[in-house]
Amino acid sequence: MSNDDRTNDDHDLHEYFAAVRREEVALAPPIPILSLTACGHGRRQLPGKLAVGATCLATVIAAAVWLLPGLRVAHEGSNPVRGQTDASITSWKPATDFLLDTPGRELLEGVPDIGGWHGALNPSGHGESNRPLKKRILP
Amino acid sequence: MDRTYFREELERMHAASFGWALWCCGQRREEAEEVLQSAYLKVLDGAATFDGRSSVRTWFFGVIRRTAAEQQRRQWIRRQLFDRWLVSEPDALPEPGPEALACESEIRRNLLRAVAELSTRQQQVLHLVFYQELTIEEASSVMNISLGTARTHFDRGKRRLREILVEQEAHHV
Repeated sequence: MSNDDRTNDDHDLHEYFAAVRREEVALAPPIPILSLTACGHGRRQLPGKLAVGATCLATVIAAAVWLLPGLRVAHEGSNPVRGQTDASITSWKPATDFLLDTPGRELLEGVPDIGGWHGALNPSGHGESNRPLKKRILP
Repeated sequence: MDRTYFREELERMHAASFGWALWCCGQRREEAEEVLQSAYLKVLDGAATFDGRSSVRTWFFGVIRRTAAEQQRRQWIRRQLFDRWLVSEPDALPEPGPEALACESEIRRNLLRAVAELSTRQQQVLHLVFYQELTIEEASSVMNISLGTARTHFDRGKRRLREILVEQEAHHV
């Protein structure tokens, strides 16, 4: 389609828009950047962006290198014995294990065998052998 | 394409580009200047590259249209966020000042008032054809729509614009 497709009936609209165009062209601001920068503007800007990115990256790496040994020392310092390897799972006890200790628990751990009762009453061993007695059923 | 020639082309059609940016931004001058500046930067940064499939003008007008759409989308999102979190919007779109209104001629005011009642696509296709004197095919390329759609918007927009202008004249009489 060409401009000729617009019929002569559109002449009035052409006039309207042409009048508006004349006004707006007069109001157009000066061209902002094209006269100041060459078309290679972007090519100069890209290394600038890269430089900023590289600087940020270097800062982060430097901060990590600076802080990491300090963090490691602090972590090792929190261990009870420095340099000791972690206990195996069989010998490991949770740090909150003491909460399970109840008063009198040691008494339960110290209850003697029923069969060894008499021997325990006579430690000198007179008249009795040190041989442990057989368990008897009490009446 | 020769860079010097390319730059000269952009400079030559600066006023027309500003006119198009103005229409893409609903006649808000500051916004249009910002859009045009962003479009130039896109071209100079290489974010928008001319592939030679159309004229420089058609291509650059497409860049302006997309830039204006992006800007409007950003402003819409910002408005939504500020409306939700801060209640008041910090930078509402500026209204034209009294001196700007005084500078406007009667014919421009009437036309803009009439065009404001059309859909965005009708406004754009009429502007590109009558104001920028592009063909409908070129206008469809700028607007990134099919020729048939552009023609439909052109015909309906033209008819509706005439009706509104006639109504305006009747009111004045």
